[in-house]
Amino acid sequence: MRLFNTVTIQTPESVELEFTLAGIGNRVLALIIDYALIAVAQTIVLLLGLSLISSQITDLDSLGTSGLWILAITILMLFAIYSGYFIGFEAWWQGQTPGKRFVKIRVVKDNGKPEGVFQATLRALMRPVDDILFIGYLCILFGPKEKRIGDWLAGTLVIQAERPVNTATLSVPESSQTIAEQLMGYASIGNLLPDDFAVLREYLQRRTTLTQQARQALSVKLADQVREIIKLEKVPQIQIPADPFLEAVYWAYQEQFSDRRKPN
Amino acid sequence: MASSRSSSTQLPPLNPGSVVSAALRLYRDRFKDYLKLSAIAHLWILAGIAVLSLLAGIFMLAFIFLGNDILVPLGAFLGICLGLFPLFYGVARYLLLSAVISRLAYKDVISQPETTAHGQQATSSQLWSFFVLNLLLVLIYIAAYIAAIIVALLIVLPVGVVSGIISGLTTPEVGTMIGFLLGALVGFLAVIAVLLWVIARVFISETIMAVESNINSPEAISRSFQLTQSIVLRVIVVILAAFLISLPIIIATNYAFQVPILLLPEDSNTRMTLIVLSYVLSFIGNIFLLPFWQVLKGVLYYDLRSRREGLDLQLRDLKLKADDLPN
Repeated sequence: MRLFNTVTIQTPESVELEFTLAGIGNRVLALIIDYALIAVAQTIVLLLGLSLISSQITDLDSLGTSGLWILAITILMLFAIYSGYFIGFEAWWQGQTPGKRFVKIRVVKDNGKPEGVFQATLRALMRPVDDILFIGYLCILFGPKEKRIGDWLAGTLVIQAERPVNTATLSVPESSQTIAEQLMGYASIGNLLPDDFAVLREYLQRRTTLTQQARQALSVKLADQVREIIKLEKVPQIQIPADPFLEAVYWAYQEQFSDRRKPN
Repeated sequence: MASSRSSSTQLPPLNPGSVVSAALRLYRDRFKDYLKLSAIAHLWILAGIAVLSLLAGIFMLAFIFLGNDILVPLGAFLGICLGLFPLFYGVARYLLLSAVISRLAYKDVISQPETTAHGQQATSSQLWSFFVLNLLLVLIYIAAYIAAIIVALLIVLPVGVVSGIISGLTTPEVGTMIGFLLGALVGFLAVIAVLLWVIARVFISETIMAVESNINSPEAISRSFQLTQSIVLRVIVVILAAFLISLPIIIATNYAFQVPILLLPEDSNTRMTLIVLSYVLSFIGNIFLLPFWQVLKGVLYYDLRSRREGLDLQLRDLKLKADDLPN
């Protein structure tokens, strides 16, 4: 699929791993979320610092030694929050910050291994540089591997976090299970490929989010196709509405071939 | 999601960031095609404006030659009225070509790529439908704006009460100040939220009309409403992400000259040159930006259709035709 940039990594064991790069859209969204969280934390620290300072001074000219100390510590803390946020989360959350986790992307080393403290630190320290005049943005936009300067220095990639293979089981109503038991008798359920089963499961999981019209049309269409695949059209037509029929086929397939359930 | 669905090449629904990234990727892949269409579209608008100015000028001159100075403004008015027709034609052409970009992007996503010529041919009969569609959209935006202001006022009212309470607790000055700031912020956010909501609901109507056959403007809008129902927040996130990504280009092309223009003395030649240059630059910037937004609509249209109509749920060999709609 050429909608997304991918990168292929060869491990020392000669295994080829293909990763889909995060893409600028996801990275921008993650950044916005992270910056918003940082801004909240920094505002709190700043207000605390300012209120401490204001309690120290009586008039504007007398920012004494202790006031200066509080000011210095506040500035230091603001910086610590900014870089510590990224270093901390990326290093100990396997390359993810809350923003990255939300949009499902993560940072890995160029060799595909998880990112360490060193890489996270380099990335965080280069972040302000990347932010100047949108340098990082342009690098991500036009670079083949979507690397900003921090990524080049640290030797990291930002990839889409693997989506877990969908294995959630659906609950099939009793009535459809009864139909399934009949179907197993005279239909060639085994003609269905694991891929067909995956489509069926997707449909059954997502059907409630479809529009009414589309759901109706799609269920009838899928049911017709499945009927054809499992050689049901030769059997005297039993009129079963499309949705229960698809549920039944899903259930029957799962009962008979649960070992084939996961494609590959 | 099944990890390897070899028999089906269709993409599953995407997350908002990926919609934007995919749009950028598609734009890059057919950069020349899209940029050419966009440039021609923009030239049509320029041509429309040029003809309008020309007609206004001719009529003014004609009345001057007739020796009747009082009627000169009338001549200009007549010229502009006549000139509106070519201007509208230019705008209609612009809208048509923009929609073609969206259509081509969608066809790319469903792996049935089309040439520019074919895309233009397929939509050419709808020239005025796109014009009507956009007129309707403008009306909807105006209505939305009025509604947004009413909503904002309703929300700001409690803020007034809060500021009154604060005034009572502290001083009237503090209460007024806080009330004013809070009211402005809340009102502004409410207007933005309502407008974004409406924009998101009708965002892909032109793509719908460019891709689906036998659909008129009101139907396209209502279908856009239907497709975005219950996932409007997702569409808003897509629009916001796309806006953020185009922001550097907007700043560079539309606002780069604004600072020196503001700083220079009013009647200097440099200032005039800069103003002209800034117009040229923002015109060029818009030529580059239009395809991005149009391609985005194409990708989003695919995403919404797979989410809401299960476009990606197809069994082997027996794929749904892209235009085969459950209408």
